[in-house]
Amino acid sequence: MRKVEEHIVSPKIYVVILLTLMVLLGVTVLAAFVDLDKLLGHGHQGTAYWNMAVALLIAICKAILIILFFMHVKYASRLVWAFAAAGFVWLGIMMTLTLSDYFSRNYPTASPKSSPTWPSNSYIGAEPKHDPIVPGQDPLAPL
Amino acid sequence: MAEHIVTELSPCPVSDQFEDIPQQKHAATLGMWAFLSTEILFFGALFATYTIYRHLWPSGFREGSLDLKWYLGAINTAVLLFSSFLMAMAVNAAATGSNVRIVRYLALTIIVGAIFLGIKGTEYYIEYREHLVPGSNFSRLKPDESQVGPFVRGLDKFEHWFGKKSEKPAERQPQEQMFMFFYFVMTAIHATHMIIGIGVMIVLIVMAKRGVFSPEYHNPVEMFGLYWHFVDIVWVFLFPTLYLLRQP
Repeated sequence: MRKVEEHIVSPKIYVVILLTLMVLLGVTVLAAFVDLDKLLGHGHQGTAYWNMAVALLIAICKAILIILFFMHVKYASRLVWAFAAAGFVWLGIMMTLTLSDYFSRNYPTASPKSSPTWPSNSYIGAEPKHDPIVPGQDPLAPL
Repeated sequence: MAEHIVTELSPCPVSDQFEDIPQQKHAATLGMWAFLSTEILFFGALFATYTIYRHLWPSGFREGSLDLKWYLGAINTAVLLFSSFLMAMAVNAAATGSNVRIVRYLALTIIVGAIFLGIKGTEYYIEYREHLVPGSNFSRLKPDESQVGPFVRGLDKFEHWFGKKSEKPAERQPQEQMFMFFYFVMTAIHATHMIIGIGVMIVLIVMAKRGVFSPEYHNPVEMFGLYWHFVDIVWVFLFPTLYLLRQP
């Protein structure tokens, strides 16, 4: 049962990981200055869809590198893997359930007159800007 | 005889409740990861709230992000990644049993961490001069050159020299204040974690100077390393979510 042995990671691996992280940092910055939505032809009303996806993907790659090598999870027992994954799995559950609620709240309702009103406009003191709903152009607009 | 005294003074590597060193280390690692899970959910809640509001006000958040200095954020990311590397080297020194190298690498980690905090503080000062602090001096009208002070003016000139500054409207959206709330809360909590980490590192340096750590027993250094790398991971996510919303 007890096979947890001291595994000394060589400094060479640390240097390689550090350089990889720096390269990924450069890629994130460069990608932020390119309009990927225009490039890849999939955007939805100025959400910077692909830019967000790429930035998050690179951040996740960096986090995985740090966890596996700097934090030694790669060389740890299966139980440590489970403990390390648990927090992220629960975070995923929290994100998915919360966002699936909020992302579906502002969809147009049955009556075209009713505008999205969450949160109440008095919150910040000004009318939140929303794109006008043009019937026929917006796939989510009611017919 | 001298050796005998040293063994008397240093703590027994294996505490009473553990059978041997690997078991003790395994338990410490699991405990640290359990603590880090609570931290993941703590920061995760902030990220979830941020996402909800960004979904609601995409353009306000984008303009808020354009008001931050992305290059200072990028430099800070590199600084923090480097400090993480130094921390990993300190753990490596602990595993090979050199207390001298532990002290050296921990001191370097503290210095690099302090550089990060210094740049962060400079950014806070810039945002204060640019009237971006929510609830205190947030202004919907952008301050002009005479109001921001010589330091911020110099940075703006540098930006112009470096490349075309992205065109920003002279008036700020009120929703941008919400972005600045998230920016300040998230970065301040992150900075608090770093300040706590620097305090713990000072204690570890004192312990290492006393020669407490050995190849068999260096759990404090190793477990603190996990904490420091976690703080690094948080910043890895904070940087693109706060600084890099440049596309419409």
